[in-house]
Amino acid sequence: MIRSLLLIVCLQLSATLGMFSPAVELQIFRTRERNVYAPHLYADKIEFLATLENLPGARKKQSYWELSYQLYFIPEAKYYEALSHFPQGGYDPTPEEFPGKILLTSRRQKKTRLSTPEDRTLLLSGIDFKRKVPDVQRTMFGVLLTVWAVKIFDAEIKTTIYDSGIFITDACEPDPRDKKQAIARKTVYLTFHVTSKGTLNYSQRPRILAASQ
Amino acid sequence: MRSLKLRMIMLCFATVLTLGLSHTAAQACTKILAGGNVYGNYDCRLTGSCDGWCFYDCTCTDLFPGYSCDDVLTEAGFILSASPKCIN
Repeated sequence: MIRSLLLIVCLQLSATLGMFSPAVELQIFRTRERNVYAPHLYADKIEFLATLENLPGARKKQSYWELSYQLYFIPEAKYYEALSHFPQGGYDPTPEEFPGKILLTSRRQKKTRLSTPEDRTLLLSGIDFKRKVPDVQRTMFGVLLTVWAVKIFDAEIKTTIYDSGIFITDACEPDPRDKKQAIARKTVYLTFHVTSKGTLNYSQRPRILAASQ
Repeated sequence: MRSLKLRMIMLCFATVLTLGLSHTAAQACTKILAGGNVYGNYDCRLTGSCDGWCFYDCTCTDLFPGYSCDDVLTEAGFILSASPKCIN
């Protein structure tokens, strides 16, 4: 009996994980030189822009969107030191696995009026950035860590969505005029998109162009 | 008869397990993909999850002379996309 159960568990694990692992696609890639001092790539202030792009029940009064987030800076040396302790391949670190991070801001917000795109936007501007990063740690490959948790109720499809995660991105960003150059990042994005099926797409880019709307 | 009952229980158990695992696995995107090969080291960070796809930005370190980040990532078996699909 136990052997049969174990066999089923093993077969199911191998079959389902293999079949349903999400597809992976890479968008931007660049090469790192270690600890290059680059204070000009650190903005004095940054803003945090969270958007709920699409919600089937946006016009329903009972719909709501609740978001909590923390934004941290991780010095380049600390980030890569942490990375060296993670297993090779895919890994889901917790925020606690990045020692030496610096908290930039932490908020929890709830929106109950969601009918227009403006209603579905949360903007926090004027977040102190450069001043909080010690001068010696203002290097080209310092990173920003966003820790987020979301709860969305869609009254149209009568679904409550819970999700949480982390996003890691560089403290600087590619120059739109010359992608090989970097400029100071001024905005950190967190974008959500609820499909008509009640699934959640999410990104740290400004836009989600989902096919399943 | 007892064997048939046992098999039915096993079948139900397997079905529930399949549904549960597929639901969990289908939604999860790994936050960091990191590793190395003969051309260099890479770390890829999740930029988003959309329509069953997971999107990453990657940084390469310690490249073998004459090789690029593309070579590292291609060797690692990733699909490289210049035009963003779904997430922009």
